[in-house]
This record gives sequence, structure tokens and C-alpha cells, in this order.
Amino acid sequence: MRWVFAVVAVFAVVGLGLAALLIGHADLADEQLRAQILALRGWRAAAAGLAGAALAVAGVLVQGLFRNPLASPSVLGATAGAALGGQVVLFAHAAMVAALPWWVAPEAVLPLGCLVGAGLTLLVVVGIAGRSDDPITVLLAGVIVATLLAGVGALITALALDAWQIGRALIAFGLGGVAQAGPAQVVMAAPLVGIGIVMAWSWAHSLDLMLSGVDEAASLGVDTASLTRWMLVWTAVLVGAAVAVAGGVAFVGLIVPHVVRSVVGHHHRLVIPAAAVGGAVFVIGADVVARSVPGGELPLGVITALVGAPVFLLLLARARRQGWLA
Amino acid sequence: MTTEPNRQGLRLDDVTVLRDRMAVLRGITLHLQPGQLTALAGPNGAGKSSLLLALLGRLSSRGAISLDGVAIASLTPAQRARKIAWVPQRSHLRAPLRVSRVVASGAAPAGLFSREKNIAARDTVRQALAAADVTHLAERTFTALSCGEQQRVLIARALATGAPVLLCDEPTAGLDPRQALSMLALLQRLAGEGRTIIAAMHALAEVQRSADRVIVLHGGRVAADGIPAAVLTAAHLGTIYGVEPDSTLDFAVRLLASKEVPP
Repeated sequence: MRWVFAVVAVFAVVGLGLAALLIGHADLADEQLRAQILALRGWRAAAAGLAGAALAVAGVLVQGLFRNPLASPSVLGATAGAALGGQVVLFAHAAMVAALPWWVAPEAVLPLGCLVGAGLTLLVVVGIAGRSDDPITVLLAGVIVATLLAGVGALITALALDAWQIGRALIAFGLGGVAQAGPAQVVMAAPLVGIGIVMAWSWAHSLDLMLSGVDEAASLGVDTASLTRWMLVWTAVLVGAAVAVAGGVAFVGLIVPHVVRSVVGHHHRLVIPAAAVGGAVFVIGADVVARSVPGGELPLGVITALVGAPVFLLLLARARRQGWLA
Repeated sequence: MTTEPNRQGLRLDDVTVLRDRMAVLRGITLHLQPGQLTALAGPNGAGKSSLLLALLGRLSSRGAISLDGVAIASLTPAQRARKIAWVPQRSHLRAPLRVSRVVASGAAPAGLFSREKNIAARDTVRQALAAADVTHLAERTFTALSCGEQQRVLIARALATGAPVLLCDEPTAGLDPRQALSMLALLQRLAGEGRTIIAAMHALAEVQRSADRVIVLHGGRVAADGIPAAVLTAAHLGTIYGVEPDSTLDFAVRLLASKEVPP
């Protein structure tokens, strides 16, 4: 089964890479524009791939950490936290732009704001859920915090509307998508995503043992406090980078880990890299669809939500059947 | 999976165990010797599970706990896992893993690029499966097994750690009489091989027939400690469990304890 996944993944990556470059409304026959269009589509695909890989691996990490098949960066509020962190940084940057040195560009500080926002949100959610073993408690804590953060984000955007340019930047960022992604965004996010995935992979064995719960994992030698701390750090890094480059892309972190596990099994040494590839393929594919539909471009999140929501409901039904949820 | 020399055993000296900052056990001083199956008995809430969780480091405690003269608080989680293994009443594992994978999670992680480590890990798993009589289940899915089979697989996982001390939480809970007696025989055999086995147990008849020693906890303290015949008397049980001293209770314990282990 694993080699099937490997072959499918290679074909999917190559095929999607070509599709991402060749499919679209613009006419590639025009020789003068061709190089420019291909470059734009290439950066856009790179941004989508990075965001997809980061969100899918972050999903593996939070599902493993909370031993909860329905956990994901967006359900836990991390995506909303990253978005708010990004909005705050963009707002502050625009307000202080005159006082800042020229090299402090919004693209440079955005990932930092997203990362801090995601990290703080995860800390708050974990603090509220406490040591509860009930899988619903942590999800509810995440949903409530995410709603609160979205409200705060809307408030900041509303306040910024007086200054037309700042308001426009905040709204564009809030909508998400990779339409504006270029080399600056990709170069800022790529190291964060790379480091996050490699460091997450280094905890694969401990995540395997966590499948049996905290007490059993601890009895088998896992330093559970340390695991929790580092999983939150690397989740924040991955979600921060993904949101900075593509905004909140719904459902990637929830459904990709499940699909991947059903193919490669539960061994995190395989699940983490497979989720990275699967997430990248899913989001690049969704972006190709989003910008190829007749009648103009759709937001990327709309496509992932249309696919993700029904899959989420299927997963919920399966989780009940398997006894993960009461 | 070799059992290390463990001649000094597990010592607890004036140990207080805390749960949510409240002392649930006080003044526990015990010396648990290798080669014995020690039963922890007592009414619900007496602190049996708390004592096991404190030995695992999952509950904070004051006082000294040492294994072979080494303070267990000084060990890292990984070192402790090679000294003290745990067999929970039920595993929280819900993922459909193969039994051999579950047992392998007790062994040291297989080396990604080291052939020797992989071979050693496979040998450890094979020996642990054989020691717990579950070799025939190796390719089955853990979550599809019966309670009794799962319990044996959890023992195999504990054996794969190579720890000389095994802590078992209600190892016979939910098992039918045949499975329960077979489980007790397994624990006796493992103790006979030089391990220190500590099992929280409710069924006094099972304690009577299988344990080398029984420690009865009551009100957060050790209420009685000794060989089962001396501790599990009607008078003792009446005081500890709050039931009338009655010779029929004593009789029932002895009658059940006389059952033979099925082949």
C-alpha cells in the first residue's frame, strides 16, 4: 500500500506541477507574456504547496498531541490566532511605516506576527482545556477562542477602514488565498515550513506512543511535558508560516492527515512526510481549480471548504463508530 | 528483554502521594522484593491506583522511592521506562495497530538506518510475545482482540521494555474466571523469573490464591501487610471493608482460592 502511495504521490506532484503552470485563463501563446505568466503561476503554486504541507503536518501534530481525530489547526483556533497576529502586525506596520527603516517590509514581519498569534492562541486553548481527557473540551475551547479572535480581527479591520489603504490590505489578508503570493512570501515562509516539518518528524516515535494516551506514553518513556511544549511550538511555526503565505485555508489540517493515515498507516515517520506531500498536492490542486473556473477566480478557501466539509462529516461519523467520541 | 539483576528491589520510605495537591497516601514505607507477586488490595478510593501512578511518576510524591538503590526521581522518563513498566487496566489505544507494533512500542525505538538495532528490536518483540503467550496474535489488530487478549498483549509490551518491575492495574478486571486464573498464572510465572510484580487487585479470592504478599491500603495508609493467609482473615476484612466479621466471608475467600488453574 505504501508504494502505491509513493507512486501516486510522484504522479500527483508532477501532474499538478504541470497543471499549475499550464492551466489558467491567460493565453500562453503570447511569447512576450509567457515567461511572466509562468513565473507568476510558479510562485503561486509554490506558496500553495508550502501552505498545504504546513497545515497538513500541523494537523498531524495536533491530532497526535491531543489524541483527537477531529483536532486541526483551525478547529483549535490556531489559524484564527495566526490571522489576527498577522492583522495586528500589518496594522502596526502601516501605522508606523514612516518611523521604520526601509528594509522592514510587511512581508518580512507578517510571518512573525502570524507565528506569535498562533502560538499564543494554542497556549490559551490548552490552558482552558486543562488536563481534561474529554476530546470535546479541547475542541470547544478552540472553537470559542477562534470565534473571539475572528471578532477581534473584524474589529481591527473596521477601525482601519478610515485609512483606506490599511483597510484594504487587512481585508485582502483576511480573505486569504495565494493570488498575491510572490518570491518575497515564498522565501520568508519556506525556511519556517521546512524547519517545522523536519523538527516535527524528529518527534515521530513519541507521537506513535502517544496513540495510547498520555499515561501509557509516559510509562513507555515519553517526556510528555516536553513533547507537548515542542508540538505546540512547531504547530505554531507551521500554522504561522502557512497563514502568512496563504491566509487560513480551511480543512487542510483536518482531512489530509486522515486520508494519509488510511493509506500509509499510523507510523508518524511515514505519516508526517506523506501529509506534507498530500497537503501540498491538495492545496495546489484546489488553487488550480479556484483560478480555472469559468467566470473569474474563486477564493482558495471556498474550494477546500467545499471538499473539506463533507469529508469532515464523514470523519465525524467514523470517529463515533470507532469509539473515539462518545 | 533480559531482566536486569534487581536484588535490592523497590523501596519506599515515608512516601506521601499527592493528587491535585491533596495527600491521598501518607507515610508509606515498603520494601518490595524481586521474585514476588505483591497484591495491593483495599476498598475503592484506598489509594491503590494512586500508589501505582506515583511509582510511575504520573502523580507527585514526597519521600524517597528507590529501585536498586537509585532514586527513581533522578531518572529521565526514558530511563524510568526501562526500570518500571506499567500494564494499565485498559489501553487507551484506538488506532487499529497490529499486535506486534503495540508490543514493539515497549522496545527501544528501532534504528532508522541501523540493521543491528532493527534486528534487536524484532528479537525483543518476539521474546516478549512468547513470554506473554501471545505469539499467535502477533499479526492481529489490537483493537479487535478480547479484553483478556488485550491484557496479555499489554503485558508483552511491558516485558518488551526489559523493566525488572511490572505495575499492573486490576489485571483481571473484566476477565471471565478462566481468563483471570490464566492471567494470574502468567503473573506468578513472571514473578518466578525474578521480576517484581505489583498488582492492584479487588478480588480477594484471586489475591489469596496467587499473591506471595498482600498490602492492604485503607484511608491513605498501609492497614495490613503480609502473606495472604495472615492478612485476609474475616476479622481484618471486616475492619477494612466495613462489613460484619463473618466466618462465611472467610470461607468464601478460601473456597474460591482453592480453584485450580485451567489448562
